[in-house]
Amino acid sequence: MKRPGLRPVSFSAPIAVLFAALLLLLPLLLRVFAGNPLIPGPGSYGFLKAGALSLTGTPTLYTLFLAPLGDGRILSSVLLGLLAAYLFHRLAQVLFPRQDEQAIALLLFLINPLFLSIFTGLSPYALAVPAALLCLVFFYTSRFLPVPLLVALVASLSPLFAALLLALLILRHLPRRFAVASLLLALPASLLAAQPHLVLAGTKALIAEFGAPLGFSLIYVAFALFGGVVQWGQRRDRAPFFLFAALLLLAPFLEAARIAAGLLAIPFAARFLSFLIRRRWRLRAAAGVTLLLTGCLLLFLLISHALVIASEEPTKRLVGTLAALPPDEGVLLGPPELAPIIEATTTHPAYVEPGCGAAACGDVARLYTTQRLTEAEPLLRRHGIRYLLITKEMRQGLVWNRDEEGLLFLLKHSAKFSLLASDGEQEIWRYAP
Amino acid sequence: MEPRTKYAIALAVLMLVVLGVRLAVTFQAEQPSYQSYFAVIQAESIRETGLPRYDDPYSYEGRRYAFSPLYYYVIAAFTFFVPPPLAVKVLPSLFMAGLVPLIYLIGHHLTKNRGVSFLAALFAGFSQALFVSASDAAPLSLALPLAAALLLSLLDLEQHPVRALLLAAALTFVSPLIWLFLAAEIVYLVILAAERLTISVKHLEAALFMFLLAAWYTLLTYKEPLRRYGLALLSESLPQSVRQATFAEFTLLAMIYAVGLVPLALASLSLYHTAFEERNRSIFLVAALGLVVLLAASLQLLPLPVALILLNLVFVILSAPGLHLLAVYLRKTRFEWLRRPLIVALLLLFLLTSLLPAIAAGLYPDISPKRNELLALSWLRDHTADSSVILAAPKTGFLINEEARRKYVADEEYLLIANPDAILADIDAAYTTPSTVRAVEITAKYGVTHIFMGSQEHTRYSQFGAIIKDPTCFPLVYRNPQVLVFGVNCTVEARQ
Repeated sequence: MKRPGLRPVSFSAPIAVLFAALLLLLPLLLRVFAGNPLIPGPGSYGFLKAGALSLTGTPTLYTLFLAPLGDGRILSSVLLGLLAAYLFHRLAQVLFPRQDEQAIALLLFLINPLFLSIFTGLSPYALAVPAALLCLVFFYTSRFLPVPLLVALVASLSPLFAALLLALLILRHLPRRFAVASLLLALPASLLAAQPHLVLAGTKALIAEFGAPLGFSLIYVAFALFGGVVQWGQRRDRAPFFLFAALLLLAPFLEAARIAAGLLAIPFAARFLSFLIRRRWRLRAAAGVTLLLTGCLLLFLLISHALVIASEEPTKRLVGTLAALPPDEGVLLGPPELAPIIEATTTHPAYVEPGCGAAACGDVARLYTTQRLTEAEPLLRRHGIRYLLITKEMRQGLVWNRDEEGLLFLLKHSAKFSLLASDGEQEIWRYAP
Repeated sequence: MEPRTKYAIALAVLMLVVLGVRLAVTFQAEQPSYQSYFAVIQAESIRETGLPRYDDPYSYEGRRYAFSPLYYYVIAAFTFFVPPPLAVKVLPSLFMAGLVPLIYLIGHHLTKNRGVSFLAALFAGFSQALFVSASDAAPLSLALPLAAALLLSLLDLEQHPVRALLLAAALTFVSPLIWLFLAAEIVYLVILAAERLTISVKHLEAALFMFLLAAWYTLLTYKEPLRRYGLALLSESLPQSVRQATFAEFTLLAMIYAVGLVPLALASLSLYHTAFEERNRSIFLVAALGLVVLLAASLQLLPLPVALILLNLVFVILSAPGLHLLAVYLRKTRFEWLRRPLIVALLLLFLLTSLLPAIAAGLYPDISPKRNELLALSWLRDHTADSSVILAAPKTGFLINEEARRKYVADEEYLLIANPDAILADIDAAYTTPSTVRAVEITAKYGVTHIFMGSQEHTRYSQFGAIIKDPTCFPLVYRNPQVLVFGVNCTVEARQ
């Protein structure tokens, strides 16, 4: 029941796009004010360096898309974000009959941490999300012909994201012949994408509130679960909610599931917030405060995530430290997550032990733990390592716990290592064979 | 005299007795406990600047705290009437004595029987875990009566909804315990659904309010720790040795010892009756809280001492309906004459299994600093440079902060401290290593100028190494019968 005095709110498409532009500019401006390079996130630098090739040396559709853009690559992400805002505005009009629900859904999409992260950095999802939204717009307006092509486009960027999109379409009763066509086109198209890999993410890489740049928001998930309960009572189609629940279970293992879960949470959360605004409360004292708290939570989430993006590597400090490297091509060993930044901003190749992820393993683990020069030198020579980047995190438990543990002993006491640069948090050491 | 007045007077007397015993135990020591000095520091900061000390230049030679400040504002408010060290000794006892009438009211809500509610209040006043928890001025001492008041309000939500919301807000601002209540509300609603009882919309709305408030406040207050540690905030931030003690394995024996045999037996009777014979919404809510605490303790999500205190609270509350059941049952039999002897026997058993161990446990000789330690710290404040850094056991940290106003290597607040394991290992090594070179390396690493050796250091280390054997590098600069303070004369040269 509508409460007196509450008028339905609506956004026109230009206002939605303008609002999206302001939100996307927020973290980028914060980076500029902090003196950090404009483009956030090590992942983005992988695409900056690679040009038409991916990090593994083979072209993907996304790298082919970026290659001709040159310095305008980051702008392409922002523009794709504006397109996504416009498409979501269209989609909300189709999905929600009520204007206030449309407005809430659009707001939830725009202040979603995933929206900020995806469209301020370089990632295949910057292309895949608008493509998926366009596909959904066509689907919900019963224009099925472009659907298979768009599913294939998404598959060529992220096969898993496409699979989840197709699962949603099938659950929402996509006609069988279009479903089969989508599948047939998506399978070969997925060969163009980088292959997904299964990694168990900790909560810090999974949840936006804990600082994960490409994680879903716990607040959104909670609102979506409440929305699911509300929807359950109204006996609506429950299949998308089951898909959302399945995505939550897959989220710790697959980045695509994490992103899909974060986006699929929006309609359920919008339904819940709309329900919250319209309902007649029994605890009248709680009504206004609860809505105020909801607003505070979402505002907190937006600002907090903008600050996460603003402080993502590379920071001014890292750039300053890396600037101390001589202009040769000696291999640099550092934290694997910083490898794309090192390769994109210096002349030095970064050594990353294959198949290790963020943890040190293999030769790198042996090198970090040895205190004997006779053991360290063959390892350094084998991989041509001339420089070592040691961060505060590595010294504070990530690799070492004590001052002279493992390789730190050699760095301190062997004449073969010399300190090139240190800013108190990051150090670069040179190894002279 | 009306029974209501009679019980009100008896309750007031009981509360005064509980407060008196608690204060008598607390004032066995001249000074507040080592841990309470953190509250003294914060209260003084609030009095001087209006704000708690989030950036502490002394702790870990400079660090940032993350904590909820309301409790320290309450302490600070009292320091306008009494000196801070006195406030931190009296207030926790006062808060905990406040539990007595609250437990009585909850018991009365559950049973409508004044006699058994009074006995439950007596159990609350002298149960082992609840009694010992009063020794430190920590937010838990205020959170517990607030939690009991919130529980009472939730039981009476239909009549007094605003009171419940206000108490939920107060508990949120004092302690993260609100999350347990939220989980308990959810479990309660699930139990109601499973029992096919109607679910109160007011309870749903209250749970939603609590969730949003707790989520917003937790994200705001603990943003930085959540980013650093993720969901494992409570356990990950602690050094390994402290973590093992704090999140020790939950055992039935530990629970029986902390809760006491009598409340446990009576609560079990009440739970059995509610589960299998007569469904009771109010008892379901209290039981849901107990279930959540048990689960959190078993999964090591809640520090064991806190879990035992909360379980103590829940079982004491549930002992009221247990006693009531027993009384009703006896009345139906030919053994009604046994009622009074049985109550006397239960009280005697409680005295032996809870009260005496509780008082004995409260009489820790070692939780407060000695007068000589304060003298030594005063000497350090008057005779050392402002930039001096003092090495001491972590437990002495807050005391140095407050009394000596000098930087020190570590205290017991580990949240946001990078690699506390390494720091603790260094402190232990500095005190115990026989190698002067190693000891000097450590003192040089932290810029230590003085080494403090008081009662905590003597307790922590059975024998000392180079620092007492090498007067060239570590000359004795101050001594009294209980404390030695060494200077640091040597340093290591950095390699060029």
